[in-house]
Amino acid sequence: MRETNEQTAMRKHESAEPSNGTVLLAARGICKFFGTRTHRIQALHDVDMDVREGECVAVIGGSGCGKTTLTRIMFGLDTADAGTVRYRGGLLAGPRSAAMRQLRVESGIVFQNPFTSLDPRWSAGRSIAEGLVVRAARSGRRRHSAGDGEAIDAAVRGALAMVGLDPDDFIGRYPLDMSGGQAQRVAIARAMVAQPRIMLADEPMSAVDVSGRVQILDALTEIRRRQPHMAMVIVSHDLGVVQQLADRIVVLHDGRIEETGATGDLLANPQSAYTKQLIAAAAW
Amino acid sequence: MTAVSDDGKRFKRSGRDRHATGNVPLRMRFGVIMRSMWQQSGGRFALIVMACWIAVSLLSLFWTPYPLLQTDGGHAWASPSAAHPLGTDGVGADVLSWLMAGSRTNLVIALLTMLVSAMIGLACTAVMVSGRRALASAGVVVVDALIAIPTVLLALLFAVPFGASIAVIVAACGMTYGLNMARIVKPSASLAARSAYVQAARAMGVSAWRVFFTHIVPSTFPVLAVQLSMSAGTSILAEAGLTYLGVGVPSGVPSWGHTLTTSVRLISVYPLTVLWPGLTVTLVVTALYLLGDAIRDCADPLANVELRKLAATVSRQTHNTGVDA
Repeated sequence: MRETNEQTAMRKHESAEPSNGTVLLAARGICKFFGTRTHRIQALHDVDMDVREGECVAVIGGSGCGKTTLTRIMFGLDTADAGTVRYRGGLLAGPRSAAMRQLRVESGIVFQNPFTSLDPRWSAGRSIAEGLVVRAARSGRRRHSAGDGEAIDAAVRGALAMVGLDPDDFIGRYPLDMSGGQAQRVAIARAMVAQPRIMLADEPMSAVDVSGRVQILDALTEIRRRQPHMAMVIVSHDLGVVQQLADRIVVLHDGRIEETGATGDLLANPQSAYTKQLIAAAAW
Repeated sequence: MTAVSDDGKRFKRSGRDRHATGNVPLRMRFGVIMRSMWQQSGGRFALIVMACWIAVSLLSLFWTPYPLLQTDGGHAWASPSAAHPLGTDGVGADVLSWLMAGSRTNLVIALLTMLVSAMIGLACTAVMVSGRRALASAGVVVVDALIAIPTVLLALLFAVPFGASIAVIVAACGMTYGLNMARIVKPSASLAARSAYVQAARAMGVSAWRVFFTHIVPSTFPVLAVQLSMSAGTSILAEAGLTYLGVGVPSGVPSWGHTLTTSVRLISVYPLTVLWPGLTVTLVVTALYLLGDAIRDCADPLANVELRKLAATVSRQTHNTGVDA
């Protein structure tokens, strides 16, 4: 929070208004319940949220406010009990729907804990290449050709370089032999390798140490610089990170949207008492 | 396309390995696994016994000291001698020849039981960790119910229509060991099925079957390796028991169980003739159990640091020194 002015100036997307790009992902009236029929807990109450092309939206809030649940539903990892999610206009209606398939091809997801999100028995290169190998196999050929292999090799190396890891050193390395920051950057490279239109980063820095956080933040900043048209949804507790990356902030509280607005405006002039509390807690 | 490994050896890269995604050529991986197993005393013992077993099985296809059907009534129950190193049985047949020929039958039984139990075990595991809760719950109930049926009872049931045969042993053992394996493998498979890396793979559009065979099955490897080797070892013990009961290997087909059965009636008079098949079975079963432990420790990259080092080295070397042939 101390570097607010400098970071704000550095941000490429510092417009106070939300981006005018096409809406990629739109959630309407999302409700989600957990628990049994007799003891139901409503995690999300009629939530609406849009993600536009090229913008970075940060979803913030306290623990258990529904951030992860909302973003998981929006990216098709979970289902809502009420409401709809549309990707590029198409309704996400089950895993076999056309919109869901398109979302899976065009999205990248970074999970909270890199050591559980990377297969411990797979090398970094194999994990990063997985999506590309599957797509090459689906392109109609049972065995992908040498050309495919070289293209995949180049893509994997490019993705590792983008997140600041030496491809020669990391392609054959297993998660067990990486630090938390390195493993999370491999996970980011996996999400980025197919050049997605939209990316979800679910608390990507919460499971790593301070030096790892800096590395991940640098990697995400570099990705935003190189791929300005890619939309990004970042779930985070860390307002410093949000300030550096996000164009727009959505504040969730008890499963409801408390406040939403451009990053600079919202952090400078929070309207709700809860947002003020969050900002005060982060500054403290 | 060829590349050069860390120790200067050239190796051919297959289409799958041509892109440097950390894949290590199978031959190199196999070499590291074998070296690691050889460095363990249990692994070394298992490898030696396995090599001898396979070699004797192959040799018995072409040569045994005496033809199996050659008997010498005048030398029944003979003690070990230069002519008959392990003695003779009740009809004067050479025990060594029958043990050698029997090793082939037992090898086939062990391999087929392992295959059948792996197929049944993995099929049941796939159902039990399925995303469809009703199917998964039903799978658990069915497996728990079927596990209660003992191998002997199942073999007796199969023997009613089919008679005593190797297929009966394989079917009975394969089914019971497969169900046991599924129950034991299930917790680690469930853990993997719910893991973030499986979610990540599914989110990238990887099919459920591909996820099962590339992520979930490898995650059960430590348990699977031990269970499969135990299936093979226990099938040899079961073969001896079922043959003794008359529902195993049919009369006239050589097997260790058969040799044991023909000798056991006069164990108090001629104990040596029981000793040899008993010793062979004990040695091989112990070796199979130790082999499972050694494979678990040496073939899993999580447990064997040498495998991880190899992957890192090969991917570095293949990019730097890979040349088109």
